[in-house]
Amino acid sequence: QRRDLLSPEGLRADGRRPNELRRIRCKMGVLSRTDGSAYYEQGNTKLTVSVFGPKQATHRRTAKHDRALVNCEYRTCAFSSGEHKTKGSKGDKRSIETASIIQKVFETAIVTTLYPNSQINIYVEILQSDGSEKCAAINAVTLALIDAGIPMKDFVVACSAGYLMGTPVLDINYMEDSTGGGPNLPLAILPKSGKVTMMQMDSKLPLDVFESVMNLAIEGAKMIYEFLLNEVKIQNT
Amino acid sequence: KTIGLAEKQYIERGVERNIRNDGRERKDFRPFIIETGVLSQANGSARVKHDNTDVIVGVKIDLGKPTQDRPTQGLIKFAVDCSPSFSAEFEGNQSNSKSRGSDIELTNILNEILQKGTNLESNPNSTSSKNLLETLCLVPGKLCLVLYIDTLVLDSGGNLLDTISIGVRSALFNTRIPKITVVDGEDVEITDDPFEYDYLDVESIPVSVTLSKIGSKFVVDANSEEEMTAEVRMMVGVNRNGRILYTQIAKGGAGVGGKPEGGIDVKTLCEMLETAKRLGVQLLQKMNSVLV
Repeated sequence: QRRDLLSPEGLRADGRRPNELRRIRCKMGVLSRTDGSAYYEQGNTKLTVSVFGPKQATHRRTAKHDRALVNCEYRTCAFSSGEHKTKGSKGDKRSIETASIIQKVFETAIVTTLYPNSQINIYVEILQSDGSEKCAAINAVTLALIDAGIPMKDFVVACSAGYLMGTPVLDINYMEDSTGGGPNLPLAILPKSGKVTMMQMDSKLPLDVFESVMNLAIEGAKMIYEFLLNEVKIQNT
Repeated sequence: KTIGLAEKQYIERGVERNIRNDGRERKDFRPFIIETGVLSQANGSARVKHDNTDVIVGVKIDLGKPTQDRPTQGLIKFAVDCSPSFSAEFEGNQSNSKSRGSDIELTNILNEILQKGTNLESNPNSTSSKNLLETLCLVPGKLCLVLYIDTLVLDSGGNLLDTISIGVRSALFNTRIPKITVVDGEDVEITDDPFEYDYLDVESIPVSVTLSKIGSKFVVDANSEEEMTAEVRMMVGVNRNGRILYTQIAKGGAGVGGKPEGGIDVKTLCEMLETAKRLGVQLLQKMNSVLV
């Protein structure tokens, strides 16, 4: 089954080449009751993000006197993947972990010192999952924060990369991730400086291969950045 | 979000003269946009956009065991999730009683309407004599199909219940059930072929019509401001034959100040039921012509 993922001509199961991203579509300002929102599609992974804030911190004790708090909640809908999940999942470990990652990444990217004693809430809802949800979520959160007018030091863009049959591949989908496809490296950068703010990997890779996979993910993220930058300009004029 | 007294009075007086704050008449619905097949991983799905309201309904099928008192029927499990983006009041802690109350209320009402609707006699025009739930049964008493219907409310501009009921009907209309053959009376074989599927017979599925009483008159399809002005609202489940399957009266918004009486007088109540019946049948006919 590993063999089906990369054909001898170098094409992946969904027809992409190893360094090709899936089609990305996004729309900002889709929800009327939020301060900022975005709908984001990367291939068959679809999600919406809503942002509320900056507003008064709900619990005085947790508020910080010199900066804003950033909270994140990550939820997958019951109909989002192959099997039905009762009542969606919000409290399970994976969702909590992803929420925590997003929170830490944006805590550094948002200029929180401008809003002491306040709170910014980010809600991610996965409508359909087909791999690389963490990365898609980070990209969508960036768009939603821009839509909300919250100042940030830079965009945060994320992309995943893997290693199939001796070739580094870009933008892993669900099949490539799950059916023994090999390592999955989601990575997020601040594009202007090129600094990496988030990186994970859940499998083993030899060190020399690791560098090429990581560089591919960074390149992919930069491509996504160009696309998002253009979309933001088009959608906000 | 709150509404001031002056605006409530403005709405009430307009309704008296059959002019609502967005220009409609009392019996007019706002236009709906229904998109089916939006979720490729669900067996059926629909997205309904209605003014500001945005609702996604997904239907997934699984195998299960029928209940003891209804061994020849399949099961429908229904859930509504109001996402935090729905309203700033509902965001944050989801165990907040206000948000749960709304989720639960919507779930219960729609569940009632669905159960009643699917339990009745089947469509006289269809070839089988079973009603919808009976078509979901595979091995009586042992194996049946369970339909999980999940609704996600992304945004609301008033009249959420009716929009969700339209979404549910559209998603069920769109649902594809893979062909299943029963083997040896106990096991089932589910086909792998993505082109071999059946559709559900949604003729019997009802739709809900909510009427809100403002002043001495009532309006259909209230927007958020009208919902906050209404004293009482009545939710009616209507099926294609014009039969009323379910009705519930609930307290509306705060009402216009200085009128402490709640409830509906009998004459208006009968008028409202008649109107709900008429509008429900119209709505179902419109939907059928569009969904085909």
